[in-house]
Amino acid sequence: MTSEEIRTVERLRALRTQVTTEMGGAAAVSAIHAAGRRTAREHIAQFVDAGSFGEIGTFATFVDKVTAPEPGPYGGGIIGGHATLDGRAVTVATDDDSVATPARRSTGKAARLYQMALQQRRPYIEIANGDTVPDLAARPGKTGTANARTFGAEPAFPYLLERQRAIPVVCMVLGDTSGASSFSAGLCDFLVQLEGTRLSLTRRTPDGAADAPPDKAANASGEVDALVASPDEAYAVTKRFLSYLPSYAGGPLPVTDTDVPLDYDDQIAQLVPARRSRAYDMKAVIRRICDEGSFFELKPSYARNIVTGFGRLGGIPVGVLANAPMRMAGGLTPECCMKAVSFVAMCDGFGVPLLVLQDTPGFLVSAQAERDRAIDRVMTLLQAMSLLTVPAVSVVIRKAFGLAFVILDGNRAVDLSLAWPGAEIGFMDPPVAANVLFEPQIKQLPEPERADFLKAKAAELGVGFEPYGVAANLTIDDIIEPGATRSVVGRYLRTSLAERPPRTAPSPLASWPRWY
Amino acid sequence: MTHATAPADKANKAKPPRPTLREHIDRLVDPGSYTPAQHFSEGMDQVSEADGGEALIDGRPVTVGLSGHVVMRALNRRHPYVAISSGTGGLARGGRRNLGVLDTVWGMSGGPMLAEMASRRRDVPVVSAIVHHSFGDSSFFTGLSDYVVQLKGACLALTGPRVLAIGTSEQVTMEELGGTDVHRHNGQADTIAETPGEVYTAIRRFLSFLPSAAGAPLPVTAPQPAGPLEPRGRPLIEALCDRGSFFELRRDFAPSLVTGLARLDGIPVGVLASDPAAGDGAYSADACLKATRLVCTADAFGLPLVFAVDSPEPRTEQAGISRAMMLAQAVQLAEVPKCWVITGRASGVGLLVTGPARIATDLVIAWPDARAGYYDGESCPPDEQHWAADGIVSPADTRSTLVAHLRAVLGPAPVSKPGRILRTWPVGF
Repeated sequence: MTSEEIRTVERLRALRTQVTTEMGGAAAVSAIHAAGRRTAREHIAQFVDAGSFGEIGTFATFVDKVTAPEPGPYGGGIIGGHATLDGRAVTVATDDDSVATPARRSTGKAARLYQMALQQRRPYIEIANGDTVPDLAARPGKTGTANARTFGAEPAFPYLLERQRAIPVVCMVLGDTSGASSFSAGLCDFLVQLEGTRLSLTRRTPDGAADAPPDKAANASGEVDALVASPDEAYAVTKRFLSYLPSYAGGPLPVTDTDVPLDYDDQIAQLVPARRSRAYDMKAVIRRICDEGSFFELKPSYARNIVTGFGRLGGIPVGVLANAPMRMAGGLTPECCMKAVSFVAMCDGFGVPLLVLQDTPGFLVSAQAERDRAIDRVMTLLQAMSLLTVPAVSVVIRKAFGLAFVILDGNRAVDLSLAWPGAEIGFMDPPVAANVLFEPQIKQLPEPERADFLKAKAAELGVGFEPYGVAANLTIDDIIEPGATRSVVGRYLRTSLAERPPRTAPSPLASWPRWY
Repeated sequence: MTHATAPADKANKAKPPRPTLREHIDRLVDPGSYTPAQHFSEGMDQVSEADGGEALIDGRPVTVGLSGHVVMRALNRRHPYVAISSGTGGLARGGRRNLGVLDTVWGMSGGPMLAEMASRRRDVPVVSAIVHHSFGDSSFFTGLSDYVVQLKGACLALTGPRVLAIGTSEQVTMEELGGTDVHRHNGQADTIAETPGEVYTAIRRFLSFLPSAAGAPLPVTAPQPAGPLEPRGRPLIEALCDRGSFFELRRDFAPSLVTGLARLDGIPVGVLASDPAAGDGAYSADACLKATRLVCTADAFGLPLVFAVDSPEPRTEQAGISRAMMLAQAVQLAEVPKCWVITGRASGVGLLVTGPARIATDLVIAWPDARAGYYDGESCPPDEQHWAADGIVSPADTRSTLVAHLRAVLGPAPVSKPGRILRTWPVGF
């Protein structure tokens, strides 16, 4: 190398070292550390596989700094690039709060990173921890805009709006987040939030005076998939989440341990009490059906009468949607419908098979539910289930009635509809049905005789609710032994996935919003 | 077991007998145009005169039926369907006959009909008229309808007060459970009607804006002059659109955003205008739901969209993030021509939804006093910064600019060009 070339390289090295070590300046970095937090670079270093991070946009800067004589601070408020996560390629973008305070307009670096992830067909992960001012007024293709000057004709925002679940997108909220940094929280597949952080569209309170306080009710809104106590936990749940999904929609499912046996399970039946009104832990049932240790629950503290999560059967990833009789007897509320729709759309968008476990008295009707738009919510769940394209299996564990059965059974859209032998399936919970149907007779009876009459009538109806009736007319496809659930479902998924032709078009559900 | 409904029953006895399906139909459709379905089997669908049939509304064919009955005929014939609520849940129809066998559940829930409706792609406009108490399948059908009109006094709920009282011990009246005051505020009824006559008028008006099926010609009418110029809200819509053409949807739900159908120089459009007089014109979480439903309907039936924006920076409302992004997604994915008039502040979500798609059929114009910026404090007028309005237009020239643009992109004989994606989005937002 000539001395000129050496000087050039030395300058690059010096500048890169300076940019990556100083970040937004020693004071800003120590302030972050003093607050007990990590810098953007520390987040990435501890999140991705050691030594795998390949940065891009190191010398990118803010919109107003692009043509400045001193273009720093570099990074443009976002640090990102490609890396591996448990050996799989991903793209990461992290808000750099050492340079981004107060809020500045970025050059569209996150958009560039997302575009790279999309082109390379691998998951895109944002660590949100900032208050970027969205550059919405400037639009692509307009000459002379700040945008066109910095990032060609690509949109600075909103780069995720047309994503339609082509690749998995994760948003980890690890610091107070608002403005453009908050947008991916409304568009991602998996939203992780660190306890005590604020996530909102604006950094201001309604009166505009000061920073908005952390939203204690954050998790009550159901939008957050996992609330975590530490950044390390956020990294861990993100890795776990991605381990069930293909790197891109239509890509091969991450199947592991295909030789895990799909044995008969003589313990599982004991988990479900025969008495129809007795509560039990559906998650224990799910854990026995899935490969050991494979069940990973999403939104565990929202609408707990329905359980959503991923598991594996014989190594094959599967989305599990199950009623939880521990909570309101497993009755379904409008919130349950939202939780289920959001989960089903994600599974279908990424081609993850669905396992539905039913034990519910039905939709919980009340004046409050009607005010909460029960009709729209319930029908949207019916729409989602009817549009399923992934292999889906439904098993009625103990009871399923009326519209809830019709919907959870995908309105006959599931591939395989099964029931345990003790299951009750019918048009309405028998005690309620007896009350409604025999009202005229009940009215004529003296008060003391009414209870016994009702009990007898409910029992009469109950006989007709045995699964053999619905198996006889093929409303369900078969009645299975509880102990055989794992092997029947697991073997079905093995063959159906092996024989299913590759997808030629995205599923309609792939474009559905993450929350509605 | 009648305790919950006894007062209402007594009240009902004093009223004149409620109209039959046939009477509703005769008053709704063009005189003498109704042909009831005959006693024959259409595919798997056993139909009879009691289920409904075909008729004309403003000279265009429709199928009218009882709570989703004979809807397949409309889907097959590719023209609109109007459901007249039956007034009964499914229990009375099928439940008593053959208890326990799930075909009863299936038939009761109108299973095959619901399956078709739930996976439909908004091919034809589907309307629900709640003229009687509607529980069970007739309530299910409303959740899958593009338009719902509810008559005052009729209750719309998943289950009636009687079953509710038995199943949960909750004692409520019809009105409390699912009366017009419930669905006027939660947005599940697009129109509240005081009289049956208003129901029929509303349905005829709604259908008058839509093509008979996605892809059919747009129902363009003779142009009408607009009203006098007004700066915001409903009067602004009247000033931009043909006089008297504005047909408002979900008026009392999320009033900070006024939505509806209207005509611009005879061309049917979906209109969404901020109303700064209500909630400062904010795109609240509910306003985003309200807007998304209209964007999906307009896109599915090829109606251009016109936004008038005067909306503040976002309030602190976490539930707002997903709803705002959902609306921005819908606007981005909509493939119909989209026009924005920035009349005042384009901030926060208001700016977000003007930001997305910039395809050739889109137009963004701003009034001279408009300001744009995500936060109010950082917003600036269109001529000061390079925010990408296609032009600064005086209020007086706004209508003619919109009309010229729509005429140019739609051509002389506008056919509805439905979008491909939103037609399978949820119906009930």
